[in-house]
Amino acid sequence: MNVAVPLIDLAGFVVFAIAGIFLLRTSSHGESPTSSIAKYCFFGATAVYTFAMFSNVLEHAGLTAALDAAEDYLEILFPAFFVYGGYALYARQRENELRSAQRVAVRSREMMLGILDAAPAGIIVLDAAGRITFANETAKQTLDLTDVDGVVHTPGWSVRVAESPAAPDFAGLITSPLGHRGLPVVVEWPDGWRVELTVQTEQLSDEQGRLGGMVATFLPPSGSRSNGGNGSTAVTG
Amino acid sequence: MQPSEFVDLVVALAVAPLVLSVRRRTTVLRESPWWLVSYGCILVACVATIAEGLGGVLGEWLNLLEHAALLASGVAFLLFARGLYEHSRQVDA
Repeated sequence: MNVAVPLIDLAGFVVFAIAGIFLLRTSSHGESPTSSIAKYCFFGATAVYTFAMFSNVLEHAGLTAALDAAEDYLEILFPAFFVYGGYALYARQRENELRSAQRVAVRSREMMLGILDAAPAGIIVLDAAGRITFANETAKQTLDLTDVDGVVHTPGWSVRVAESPAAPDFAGLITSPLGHRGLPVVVEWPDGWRVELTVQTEQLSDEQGRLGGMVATFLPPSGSRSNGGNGSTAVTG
Repeated sequence: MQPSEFVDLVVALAVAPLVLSVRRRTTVLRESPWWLVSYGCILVACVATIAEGLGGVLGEWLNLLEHAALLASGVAFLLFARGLYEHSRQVDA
């Protein structure tokens, strides 16, 4: 039995050292499940027992027992390195999951925007004040809208919803008591060009269930400013 | 028995619930038993060290158990480290 213990310690020294080498060679880049923190914490854990086993081997060989005291205290660090390494692996897993969810969200958003832009109907999203926060391609062409860095700019037209007074935005849609199907809307440019639209709306709610805005859709009129209209009226078909 | 041996056991036992909790939440650690086995062997070694220090007829056997448990912990840790290494290589490829 006395012979077995030094041999076991020697084997333990080799095994912990090889484990440490594997950990140092583990990649922590990109989508790897191992982060640098996890890798070096686990390496620290193996280093503790590599040192302890080395100290035992020296002691058994009768060379020195000087490392023995340090070994006893160093062993306290093993659980800390071990669990912190595990926690770092968990943190990396969460990070990878979030990155993956973000990629899925971006792909879904691009697909939705593609569908909206390909739609033949004009689609605009309004905030609670009636300002346009999003417009698809058909709506941009019909209403002469420009999109600069995600902010939609109007050409200065005024909007009249049913019998409401003219406004520089679609606030009349938000406050309209006439319901959400087939609202008559007239958009008038400063130069007199008019577009008459029949608008369908769908209310959007915020987290508290309050009105957070509105989605409005309409069919584009038969004539438009870009195909020759001037000072006349375009009416939805 | 030295105070440091007792402290080793107390710290290892105090951290054990955290080890189990982290393992339950982390896929890489759940997929392979070696990380947990390695920690379990360290706990066995700590208990054997304390028991050996208390004296008795089993002293020599407990000493052997302590060192064997540390070796087993090393082997388990090696298997765990190899798994991490291979997993990271697969992801890189």
